[in-house]
Amino acid sequence: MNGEAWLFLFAVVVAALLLFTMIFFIIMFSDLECDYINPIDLCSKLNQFVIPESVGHALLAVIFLFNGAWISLLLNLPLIGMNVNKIINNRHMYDATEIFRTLPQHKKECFFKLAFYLLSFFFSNHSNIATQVHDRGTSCRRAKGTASYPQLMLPKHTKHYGGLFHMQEVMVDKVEQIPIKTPSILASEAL
Amino acid sequence: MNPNQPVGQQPQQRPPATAPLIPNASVRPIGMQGPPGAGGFRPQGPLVQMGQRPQMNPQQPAQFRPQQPMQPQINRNPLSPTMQQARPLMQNSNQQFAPQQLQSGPVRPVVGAGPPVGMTSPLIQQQQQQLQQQQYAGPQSGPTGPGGPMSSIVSPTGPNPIASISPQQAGVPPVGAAPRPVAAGRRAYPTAPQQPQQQQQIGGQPGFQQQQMQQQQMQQNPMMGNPYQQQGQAPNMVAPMGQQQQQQQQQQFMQPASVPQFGGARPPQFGAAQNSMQSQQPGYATQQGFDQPQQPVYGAQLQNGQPQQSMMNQGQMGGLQNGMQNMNMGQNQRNPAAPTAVNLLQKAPSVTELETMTPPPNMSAQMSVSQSPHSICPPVYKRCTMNAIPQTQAILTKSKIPLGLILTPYRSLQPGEEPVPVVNPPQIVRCRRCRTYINPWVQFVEQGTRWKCNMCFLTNEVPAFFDWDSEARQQVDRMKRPELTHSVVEYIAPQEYMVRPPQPVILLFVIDVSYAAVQSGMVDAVSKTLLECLDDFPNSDGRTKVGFIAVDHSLHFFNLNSTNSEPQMLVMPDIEDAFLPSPDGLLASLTESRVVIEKLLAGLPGMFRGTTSSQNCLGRALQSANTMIKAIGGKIILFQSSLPNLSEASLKMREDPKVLGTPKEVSLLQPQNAFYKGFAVDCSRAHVSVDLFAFNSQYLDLATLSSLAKVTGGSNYYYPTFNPSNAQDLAKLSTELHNYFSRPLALEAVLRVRASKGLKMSRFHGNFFLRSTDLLALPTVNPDNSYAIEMEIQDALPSAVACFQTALLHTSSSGERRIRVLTLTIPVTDSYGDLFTGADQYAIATLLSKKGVEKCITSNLDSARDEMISRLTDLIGAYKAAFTSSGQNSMLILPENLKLLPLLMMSTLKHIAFRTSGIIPSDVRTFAQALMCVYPTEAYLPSIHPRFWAIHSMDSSCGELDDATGRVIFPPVLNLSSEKLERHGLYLLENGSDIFFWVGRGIAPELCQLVFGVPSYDGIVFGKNALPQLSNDWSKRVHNLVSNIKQLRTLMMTTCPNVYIVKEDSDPNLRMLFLSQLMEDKLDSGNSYPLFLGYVREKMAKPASMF
Repeated sequence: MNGEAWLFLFAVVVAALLLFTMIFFIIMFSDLECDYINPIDLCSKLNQFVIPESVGHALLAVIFLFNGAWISLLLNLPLIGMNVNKIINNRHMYDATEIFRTLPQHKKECFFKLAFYLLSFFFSNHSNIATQVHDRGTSCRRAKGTASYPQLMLPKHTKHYGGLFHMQEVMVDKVEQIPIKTPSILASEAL
Repeated sequence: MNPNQPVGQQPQQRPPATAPLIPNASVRPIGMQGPPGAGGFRPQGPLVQMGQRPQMNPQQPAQFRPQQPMQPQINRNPLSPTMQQARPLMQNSNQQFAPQQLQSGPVRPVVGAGPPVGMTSPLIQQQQQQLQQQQYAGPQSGPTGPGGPMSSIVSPTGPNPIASISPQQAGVPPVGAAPRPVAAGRRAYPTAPQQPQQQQQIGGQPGFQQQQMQQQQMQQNPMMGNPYQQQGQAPNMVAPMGQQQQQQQQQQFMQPASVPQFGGARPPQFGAAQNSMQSQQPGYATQQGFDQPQQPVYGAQLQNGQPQQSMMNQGQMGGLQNGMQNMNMGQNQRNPAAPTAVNLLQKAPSVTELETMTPPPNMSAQMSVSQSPHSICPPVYKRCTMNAIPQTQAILTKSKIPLGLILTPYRSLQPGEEPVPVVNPPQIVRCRRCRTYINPWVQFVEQGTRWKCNMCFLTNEVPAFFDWDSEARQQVDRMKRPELTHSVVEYIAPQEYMVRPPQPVILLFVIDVSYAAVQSGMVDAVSKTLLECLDDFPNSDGRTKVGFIAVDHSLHFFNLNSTNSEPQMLVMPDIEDAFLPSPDGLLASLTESRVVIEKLLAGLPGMFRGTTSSQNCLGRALQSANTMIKAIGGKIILFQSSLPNLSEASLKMREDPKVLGTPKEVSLLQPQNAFYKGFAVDCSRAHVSVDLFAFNSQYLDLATLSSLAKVTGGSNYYYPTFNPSNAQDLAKLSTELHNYFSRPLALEAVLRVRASKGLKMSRFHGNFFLRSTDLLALPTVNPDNSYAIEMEIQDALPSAVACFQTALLHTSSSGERRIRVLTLTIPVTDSYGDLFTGADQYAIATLLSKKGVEKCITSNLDSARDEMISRLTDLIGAYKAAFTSSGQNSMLILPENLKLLPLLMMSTLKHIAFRTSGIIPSDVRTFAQALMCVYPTEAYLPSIHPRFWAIHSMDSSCGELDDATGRVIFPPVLNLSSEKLERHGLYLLENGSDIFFWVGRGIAPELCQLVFGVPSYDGIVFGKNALPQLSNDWSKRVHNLVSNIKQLRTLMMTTCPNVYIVKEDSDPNLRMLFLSQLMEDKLDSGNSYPLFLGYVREKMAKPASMF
């Protein structure tokens, strides 16, 4: 596994964590609606997770930035912006006195984030696999395991050119070596 | 029974054995269906034939029946006859019962005069008499008084005069005057009062009489009668004369064209009281079916024989009437006869109507299970923005009328008001499923053994103690139970409503003793006043505890142990690590430690007189205070005079005059620090509330501090230019604190609002902590505060009546756990006509202003103003869209009962809370907004639209006590316009927080001498001065007016208004202050009323041009 694969593996883990956080938030909100929890407890519980969640997401973005995974970074930027904006305006914490008034909005936001983290989970997962496949693309034996993603593989080659310079060079070398082989191998194995 | 009876009504009859318990009584069997009158008197007129009725009441001797030529129909539809037709009321009720009033009164011979057995008041007799006279126009009519000969002949008397006269006369309200007979054994309960009663029609009347009857019936129509008036004024104050006049007035706007139709030309099945709508809707007749004479049809709505309608103006009546017509038409058909429209541009608003604030009537008390007049919820306790609830959200949305409640559950009683009845049942009767408390609007089913919840329609057991007093071992009349007769009752709660023993009252004073506070004289004045108020402290059970913390850069605790001879001050300089310096004694029993407390209050100003500390660590003080009392709960009373500037709760001086009046101003209205809100949430959890008394001339950041009171259900009191050398300021503080301590206090309260299935509470406004979707936590209940609740309609409302029940579970200051239950019922409609004629402009304005405050804080001032204007224009637009043709497009019209709404909205926009101005300090604005959030409608109105009187021209009765009402007579209210200011005039203006005297330059020297005690205009001293007490009649009467206003405001909002004397050429600031109260004039950027209307019309024209 190369650096990029590690990166995406890490992204997968973080996305999964964030995903679970959001599910937890949503469950807590529906508890509140059913009056299983009072708003003060709810807010004190959820507020513990607000900053970690934002930080986790920001961390991910920073890693994307350093690794030059520009597409991933771009996808994450709007959410980063939203979080930063909220923190700057001091609106990031849940307010027990306003929670019922803002509950629909919070829920909407949580569902949106849930969907986003879910997508980014799959995206990172895919990128991870793709990177690994690509990484091992030179050997037929290794490529076997990922051969069921031929159609996903192809565009990835181009994508990975966006990596860090040393990676790029490595990849350029590899790409030069494989260009003809890879598709044919994969195509044949897929069949 | 009638085969055409509606499905779901079980016509079973009870065994006769149970029915008539009193000889001659016309107790009708339960479940019997038919005209109520049938059980009682059946006219032996030419044709009255109500088929099945007679044999049901074998005891009823025919000769006792009044020789009434006609028997009108009774329709118990809450809204209107026509609506009923569309939707039979209470379709799912199992049985249909006649109202008890009409079925169970012992019948007395009509002709054979006998002494009245019952307690029929002379008034009711009078009314009956009058009604009869009108019916029997001619031979029998003559001047008869209550004790006149006629009364013994014509009006049968008995415990239940209504039953014994005629159904028509049943319209006369029984208002407490007609006690229900106590029957032994099973009685017939009026189990389904909402059921439409079968109607009988007696024809053969000459048209004129018919018409007269219609007048009466119209008058007694539940929508038209004004049930609320029964609350305040005893019905027997009504002179019959007034009623007659009213009827005559009504005749003027009846539609005569329709009348002849009934005069016998119609088949007898038609209700005599059917109004003109019939002529317009021939389809109705066939629909009702001539062949179904006993079907519940619309007709006379007699339930609410509200005798007095003087407050209702004719236009409104007309509007209602038209509204009913409109109901017929359904929504699809645009009805040319919409609710009577008022062209707003035509004349100045009639401000006299603001004095009464009468909401449109909604239900008739006769429809409640006990038919008690108290089953109508007084609007001062609970007020809905619409007195006819739309059936679906679609109708609501389209009508653009906001749906909401204004609750003031724990309000202080004004003099002359009846206290809330307190009941202590062995068990509190509630619905099993939805936990609704039993109330006057439930139905009894299954021979009265079960009651049907009016929210969720589940049937529940009626407990035995409703009918049987096991201690006295005798039957009791369940209809005398306050929970069935009063819409506002207070239960003494049993054990299961307590999580812990009722808490004692705890008052913890946190007093700012920093340099600024001492210098301003606040500490001195407060200590002195508290010392005077000690007797007013709520301490009926002797458990009250009191504590004091003085705050500057350190915390000063006081050990008040009763074993000490002197209070012991414990100073805590290390505020970073504050702890409670003494395990006990910090909170001392008021009774035991009274001497020590008095010594402390007497010595407190002296202890800090020489202080040099300019710092204040309010945050730590509050935390310590909370620690002290959080185990019990109670009240933290905060006297603050300087900006807290120590510890994490320090506040920055952020007021910037440049920001005022700009969109950025809103940042000054939002809290700058999350500490106070967070602290308040903690307090709320520990049943601690915070009341803030702010004294300052400097910036105090009320925007941040006021969140303490907002979240904990407390209140803010603000003395912006407090000057202890001014006697009026001291008197104001003293009056307010006296009232503050002596008013009723409720602790550890929760307030839950329940509403009929389909209704959902969406937003809440006021000072509270929202603990669940419909549960407000109120650590202490402040009687002044009201709570506004916005609602949505989630599912179409299934029944014809919507019900809102508020339960306030609290611990009274006497240590009793109590539940105050308020039940409001409102008919459901699907017609726009009803919606608009039932809209309550005062409640709407109150609700919109509260929404405006919220919007202002979350968004900004301009968007709040825009929203209020757009709500108004939307409403007018919706009305026009529904009821006008294109020709009226340019007119600005509203129904009669909404005609003041534009004025109210304009005045709200000109109120300090919303005014666009660059000179209103943010503290002043925040305070105004905080008040706006908690104002009940009665306090909101004068604050936005002050009351204005001409003193120089008032007649000699003004200022005197009215013997009839016990109130001071005020001169007629003037429009708030400087047009009214005459050069030689003396005017009085009152806005709830201030009283102004405006002295015209050319005031008569005699008047100067009489009122101000100076020989001429020049001698009058302007400014914040009390009027001199002079020993002449004029001065006394003016003082009466002023003291009456002060008393009213003190009781209502714990605000004692200051008196300002403003001369025409006095200080320009003072002059502007007065002139800014004249709402109909142009003010700064605020438009004058006509211009405002023009603006509204322009705004309305814009969207129209887009289509």
